[in-house]
Amino acid sequence: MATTTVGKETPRALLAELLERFREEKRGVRWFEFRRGEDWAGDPAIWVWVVLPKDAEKKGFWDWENREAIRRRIYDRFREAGFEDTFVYVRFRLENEEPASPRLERIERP
Amino acid sequence: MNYSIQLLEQAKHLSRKEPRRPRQASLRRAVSAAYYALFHLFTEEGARLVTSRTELHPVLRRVFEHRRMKKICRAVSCGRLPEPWNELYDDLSTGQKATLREIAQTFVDLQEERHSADYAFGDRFARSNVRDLLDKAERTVRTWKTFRKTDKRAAEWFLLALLFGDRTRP
Repeated sequence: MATTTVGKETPRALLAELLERFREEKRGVRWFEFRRGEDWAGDPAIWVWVVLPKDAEKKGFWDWENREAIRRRIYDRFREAGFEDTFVYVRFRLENEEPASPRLERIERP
Repeated sequence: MNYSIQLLEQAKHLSRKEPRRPRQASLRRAVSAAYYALFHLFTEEGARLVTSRTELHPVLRRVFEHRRMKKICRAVSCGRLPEPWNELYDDLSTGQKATLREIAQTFVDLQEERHSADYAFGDRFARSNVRDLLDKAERTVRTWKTFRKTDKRAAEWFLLALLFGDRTRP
């Protein structure tokens, strides 16, 4: 599998770090799924699916503020790591919903 | 009710249409409608900015191009504008840049998702993903409507950049 690396940090490493941080902040993120490629216009892109628990709404994890904090942190972390020319698309789904594709890489806590 | 709001309402209706097992067709059309809500909001206001002659608006609105708009929005979202747009961009306040960054990012996001919705049949759309996109679209429309009143010059700069993009010479 090809690895996209900018500096020393790979998307996998960045997402593993973010997952840990979100766990500490109790943001309800169960795991991430991601893929790399080109978007419709041929620009380099990374798609990150943030998977929340099925009762996310009841527990407040679906609140706009929580989703926005997660989204913003992901954008900022990738930008800090030098992925400035790669657009990061952040998507949300619940754990009881089907993944967007069977071809996604998964990042979960060990 | 203006067309963008109608499209957003249609998107919401489609996303909730089948409460138990949402159909992919409904979710995909909802995403597409949400993107076009934003697209038509900008083309309508951009045309109005260029001329008050309403009979010219339909023609002007056809001048906006998805790819060119994306390019400018990507540049705005990372704060690196091409010439000659960069000089005017640098004059904007930090708050104006932050608001435009949010708006531009949502536009790129929705455009990409709209493309997947219409063409990427290997992918599946989850209802919560669509709900999140609709929330973003709705909030962005609201943010834009406030921004164009409170920060008229910055809003006009953005509309012109969307319209002309890289057609201009440095």
